[in-house]
Amino acid sequence: MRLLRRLSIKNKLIAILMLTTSSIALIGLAAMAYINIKSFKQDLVNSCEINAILAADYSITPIAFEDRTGAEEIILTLQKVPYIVNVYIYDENGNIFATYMTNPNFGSTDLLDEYDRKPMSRFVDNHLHVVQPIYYQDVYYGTVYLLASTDLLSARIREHLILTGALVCCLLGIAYLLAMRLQAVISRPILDLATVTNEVSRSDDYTVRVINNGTDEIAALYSSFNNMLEQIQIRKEERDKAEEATKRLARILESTTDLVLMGNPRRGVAFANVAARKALGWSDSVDLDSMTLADIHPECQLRRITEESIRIAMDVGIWEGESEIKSADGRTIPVSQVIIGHKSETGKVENISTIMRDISERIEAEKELKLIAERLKTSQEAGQIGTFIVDVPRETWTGTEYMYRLFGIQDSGELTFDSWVATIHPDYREEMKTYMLHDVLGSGIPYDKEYKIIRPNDGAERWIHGLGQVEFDENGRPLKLVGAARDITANKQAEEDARNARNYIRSIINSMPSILIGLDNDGLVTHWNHQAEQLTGVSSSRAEGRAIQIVFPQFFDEMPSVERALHDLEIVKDEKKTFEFNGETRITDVTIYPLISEGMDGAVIRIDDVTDRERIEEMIIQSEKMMSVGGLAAGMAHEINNPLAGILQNVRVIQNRFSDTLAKNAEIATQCGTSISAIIEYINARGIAVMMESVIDSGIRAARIVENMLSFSRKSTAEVSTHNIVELLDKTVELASNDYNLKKQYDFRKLNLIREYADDDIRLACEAGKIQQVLLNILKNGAQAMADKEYADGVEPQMVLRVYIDGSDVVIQIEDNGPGMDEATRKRVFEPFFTTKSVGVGTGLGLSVSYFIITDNHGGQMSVDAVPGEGTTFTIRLPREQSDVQKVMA
Amino acid sequence: MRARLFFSRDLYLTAISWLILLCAFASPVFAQTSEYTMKAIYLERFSRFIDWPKVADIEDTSRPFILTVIGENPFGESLAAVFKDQKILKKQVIISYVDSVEHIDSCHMLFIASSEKNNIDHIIDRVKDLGVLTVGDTEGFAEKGVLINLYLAEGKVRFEVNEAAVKESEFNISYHLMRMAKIVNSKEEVKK
Repeated sequence: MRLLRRLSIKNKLIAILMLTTSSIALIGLAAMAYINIKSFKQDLVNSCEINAILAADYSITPIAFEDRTGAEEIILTLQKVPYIVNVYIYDENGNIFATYMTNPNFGSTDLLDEYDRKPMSRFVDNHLHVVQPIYYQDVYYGTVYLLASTDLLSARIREHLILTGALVCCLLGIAYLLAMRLQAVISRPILDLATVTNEVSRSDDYTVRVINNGTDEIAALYSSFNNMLEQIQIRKEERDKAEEATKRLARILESTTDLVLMGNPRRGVAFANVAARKALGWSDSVDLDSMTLADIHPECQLRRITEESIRIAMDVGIWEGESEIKSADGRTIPVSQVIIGHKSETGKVENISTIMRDISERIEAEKELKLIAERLKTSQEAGQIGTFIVDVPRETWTGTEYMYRLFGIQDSGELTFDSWVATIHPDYREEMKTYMLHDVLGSGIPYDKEYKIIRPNDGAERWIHGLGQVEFDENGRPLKLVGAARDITANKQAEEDARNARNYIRSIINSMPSILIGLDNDGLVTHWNHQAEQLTGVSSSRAEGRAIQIVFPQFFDEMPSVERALHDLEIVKDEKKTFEFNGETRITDVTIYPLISEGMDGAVIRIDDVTDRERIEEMIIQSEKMMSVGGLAAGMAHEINNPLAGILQNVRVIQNRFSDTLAKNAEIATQCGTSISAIIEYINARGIAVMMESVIDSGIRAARIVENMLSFSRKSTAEVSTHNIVELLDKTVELASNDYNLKKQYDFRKLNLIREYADDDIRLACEAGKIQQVLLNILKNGAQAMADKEYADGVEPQMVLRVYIDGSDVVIQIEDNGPGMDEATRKRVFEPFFTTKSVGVGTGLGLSVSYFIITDNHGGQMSVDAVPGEGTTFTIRLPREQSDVQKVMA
Repeated sequence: MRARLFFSRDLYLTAISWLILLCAFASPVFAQTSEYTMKAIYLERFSRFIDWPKVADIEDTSRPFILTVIGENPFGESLAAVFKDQKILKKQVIISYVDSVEHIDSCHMLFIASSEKNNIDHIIDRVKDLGVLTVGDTEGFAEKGVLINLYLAEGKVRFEVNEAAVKESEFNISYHLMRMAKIVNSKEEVKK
């Protein structure tokens, strides 16, 4: 190694390469030789083993059949293998069976000592021993023992080693030649670098560079070297610049109007610029070293400067603040001051410098400003107005103190646009954002908006009215928004209360079941409630502001009443006026109230629909009337019934006693001196028999009337069962058609029957016979009435039969276009014995009986409507729930 | 490998016992005196190199190996002596002597004595295809169709094999044996 170190790079490289090559070649070739020799040996072993195996195979039968000659012939063939010297064949007992020997002195069969009938092969001295047992089908027959010479093997190995040696020499020669040529690749650039280094140090020129055109480690060394040269060059230039800058700084210090002083607080001033000397009244010849802080600052400031300002500057490095200095003429001048502590290399502050500026004018201006601000604040508090300025490009805003209080913002100062957005009530947030960004800032519309906020500090909801104006730059970009904001929560609350009150009243008016119409003095509609809309079909928006005669023409007749009310300021009431609403005639009470409160001239019209009330009243009257009349008739009938029974009884007895069929009659007649035949002859001649028949007939008729009258009050035992009322009605119609023959005055079959049934199967619990009686009665009456009417051409007598369900009732309506009846008739039509027919045609009890059947027996209602000359309509209402009927029955 | 050794131990034992027998009284016999003892031993040796046809059912060691001698027995007591303990193909050997081909029941090996010279065709025709290894020791027998024929040469027992007859039969004789044998071809005679 030491030897190597002393050599030049060139020789070092050659030596290294040679060493490497030779060691690799030696190791490689030695390994190769070893492997080859081993394989030569193995080849020999393999070859001998194969021969032994073949010989063994061929020896099986010679041994089995004692054929020594055959065995010898076999091993003789091994003669052809040059290295096989001796071959022995042993039989199974270990006796020699056959041999082949080229050299009897060559080796011995030593291995037999350790032979255990398994193949063996081994080199002993210069001989190869191969032992091969002879087996056939697992039967052991003997052994083949083969001795081979290794002479040929040795010769081959020798030859191989000589060749390998020659190869090593050849390789080393080539390696040396290549090393000689290739070492220059490395050594030359290094020599070049050395040359350049010498050049640089000699000429002190750092701009020289080594030329680099490689990418290897030497190239990296070159570029590092170049970098180093560059760094040296840069530092040199910087040093020159720094010197220049120092000179310039000194000139600036002398020419500035700021006061600059440097020094050590304990040792005195080291430097004071012109401005400082002038301000402090120091002449050029003053001894700076003797000047202390007391010569600079007035007495009152000294303590603060030394204990606070200078200490901070020494600790932190800098102090900024305001102080005062003593001027040449003894005044104190306010200054803004910066004190800088300069650290020495040890890190300890030894020197300080200070820069001061006269701020007398600024202090004055600030005082002025403060005063203005105070005034502004006071005025804003008084006017409850906050003002603000939004810096649009920076998205920030500032406001007056009152502004912050208005918005419940704790910290004053600069705030973000988002902080304003955050205060806005969520319901208004998006709208306000769009308004602000798009309308105000985007389009320049003056800011004027009312919105709601939630104050972050107390969570109170407040209404704010914001006003403002955007200022734009010359490019039309918004610069700032200046404006004011006011709390208008109280106003808003009042507005809302008013609106709520109005809505409340309106909903009261709308929920009234009456029509309520407000009119002004000119008869124009001011109010038009829900009921008015419903009944007239005119919406309030259409009605309001128009004359009532136009939107409600039916009301025209009432206008004089309105005028009277307005004129006399009195309430005018018109009862039972009929109006047509939605094609239906309604009875109404109209009331007109003049408005007499101040400033509100006009009138209110109230129209109450009393149709239903009227109808009910009429029914109650009817019902009461019928009850009393019915009671009276029933009582009367009861009283008449007994004497009538007596009359009929006795008349029948009389008839009987005039009969010639009874023996007793003849006997009594004989006793009386006459004969029964004479008496019969007499009564016939005098028409007494006919009279008696007549008495009986009349009696029976009276009895029937009485029977009917009794039924008014009698609660018959119910035979209620469920029936299809439609079917019942049709059956009754059929019954009525068959009845025409009896009366002749009318012909039911000529009527035009129109059936309007809601359903073909409407079930109802009732007493079928009685209901049929009622229906037949109405149908007959109708038919009879129509027979009396003379119809115009093209008009046929017709009857409309309706059955429908109305709530819990079944309604049966029978409408004819007969002569109808006047109101007086209509009201009495159910009264007993009331009839329009000529005497003897009817009893006047039909409809009364019907009425009681419906109302009393079935708990229903029966009514009639009629228009004289146009027709009559009977309406029967029967409850579907029979429990009602049951109750009545019970 | 171990299993195989175990398997073959049986054979070693028989071989050793047989050698002892030889050493005891057969060594002088070997050469000249007991030609027929030698032949008897050969009969067993042949079996080692021959595969019997399937019909013979040679694999079943529980059944004996039947060796039949037809005609005048030339072996004397040799056969009985040799096969008293010696097995053929691991089978007990039963020796039967018959004088007519009609009396052959079934056998694995048929030794045809020279006395049957005139009946040889009939015998061969009879046992053909029955899986019987025919052996003789009469000159000309091989040519007649006997599969193995023993003869003496230079005082030693040698044998010839009728290759064509072997090929025709279903016997399979190892090349080891064939190499030792004199090959006889007697196609025409067999055909006849």
